[in-house]
Amino acid sequence: MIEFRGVWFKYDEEGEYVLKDINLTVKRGEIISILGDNGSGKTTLIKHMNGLLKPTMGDVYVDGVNTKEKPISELSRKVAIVFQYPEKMFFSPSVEEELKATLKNFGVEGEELESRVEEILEEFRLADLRGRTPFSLSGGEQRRLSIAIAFSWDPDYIILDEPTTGLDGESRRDLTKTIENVLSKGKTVIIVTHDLEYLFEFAPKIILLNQGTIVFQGRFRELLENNEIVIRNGLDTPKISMLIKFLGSDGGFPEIRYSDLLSMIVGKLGCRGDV
Amino acid sequence: MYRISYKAFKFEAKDALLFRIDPRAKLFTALYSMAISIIIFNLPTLTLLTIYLMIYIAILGKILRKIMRNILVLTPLIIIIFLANYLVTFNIISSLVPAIKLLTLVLSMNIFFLTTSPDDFSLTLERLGVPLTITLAFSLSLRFIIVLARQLNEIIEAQLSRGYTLDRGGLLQRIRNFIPILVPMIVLSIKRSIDIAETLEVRGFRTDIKHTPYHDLKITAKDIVFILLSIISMTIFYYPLQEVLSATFPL
Repeated sequence: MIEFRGVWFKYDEEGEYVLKDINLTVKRGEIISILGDNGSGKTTLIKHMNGLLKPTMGDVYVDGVNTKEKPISELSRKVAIVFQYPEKMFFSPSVEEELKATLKNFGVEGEELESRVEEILEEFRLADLRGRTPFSLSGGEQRRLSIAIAFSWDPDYIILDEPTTGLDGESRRDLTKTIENVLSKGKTVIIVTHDLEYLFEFAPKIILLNQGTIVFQGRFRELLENNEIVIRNGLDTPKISMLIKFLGSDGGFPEIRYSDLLSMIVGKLGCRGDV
Repeated sequence: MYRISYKAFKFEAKDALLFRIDPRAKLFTALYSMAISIIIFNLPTLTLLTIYLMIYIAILGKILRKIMRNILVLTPLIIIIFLANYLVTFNIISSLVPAIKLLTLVLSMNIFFLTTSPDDFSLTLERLGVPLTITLAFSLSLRFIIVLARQLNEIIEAQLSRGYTLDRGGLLQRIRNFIPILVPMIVLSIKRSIDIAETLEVRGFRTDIKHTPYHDLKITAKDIVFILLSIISMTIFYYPLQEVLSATFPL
């Protein structure tokens, strides 16, 4: 469980608070999405989860351990962050070496190392790319590799920062499969995004940030039902909500209630069920 | 704790006289001030010059805080220069002179560097006859210090997040620890430079023809007065002030 208790944060002594009084709990095995427009503090928030940043006021607990008391090297064993631009983390001549280097750093050696690398390559469909330089991969493949790297040392929480940025349709479907795969292992996945459309795949629990404050915390469906919250906080209304709204009122089907249709459609698309 | 600060390199325009003066006038003044600080050897005079330059920059440029930060960064170097001199000469006064001289040199340079935007900087070089390819490389590298520092921070964060530590092991291991940071840094920088070259080409940038800048530099009466007053005030330190002070305090 990751717990934020009254967290305030600012980068500079003189600067303004980037996070203001954040209280939230992330349970194990959940899928959560942190939403917000540019500069709302999403990335700052997730950097607190593995101790990259320490709160100016308040505390963050990862499985009961205060992040102020543990170094990042220990916290990162439990919490993995995949940043927006995966190429910033690559340094090995090949995909296989990249995975090996990561595992060696966590003390995996010998036969266990070999078998674990094979397992990951298979699982994330990277076996064909094993000899390629990570920098030469396509955007989607790089993303897949970066998630595979984060997954390789078996952390309990995987945080994806803007995972859909710059991905084409196929890569997005790829990403969805990868995330589902990770979820099926009972891991916690936290998706940071402003792409509401993509979240229909998972219907996650929502944390909506605006200027460093949590303005909405609840289920995906509740967010869709309150469209003003979506608009007010600088996000795009999903096309599908617009269609449902249109069908319900102006489209000549006044008898159809927005919320009913919404739950029908979200229920069909959302594979998590918890809508 | 691993964050690299790039504030010192960030150009911020202030509403102050030094920011409105022609960069060539500032460059000339800065060089003159450097020359003056090199030829003064009397400790009290040098100290007075340092204080004068600080007040000069603080009033005309309103950037005292930034300068104080730069001096703070320089303090170890100043101490090393003092100690190195002291170990050779065993004379405190004559060891203090080069240490303070470094301070005056840095202050003098700041008259130009902290008050001139990268754009004006390259324009100044261009107007002084430096070829465009060189001025462009110069201004781009100045401008990209901030971008690269930010990139470095992001790479460090990404590697820390996948369990790497920088301060672990012996000397050799510590050097090795930097590989995961250096490799992406170099690869991404090369990629970025190719991107910039392409962008410049796409926007029709050519170095084989004379180009006309959007803002051109123009020396006005204000700049002339600025140069004259600055030069006169700085020269006073060399003569007669040094003369008088070395007679009273022969240090």
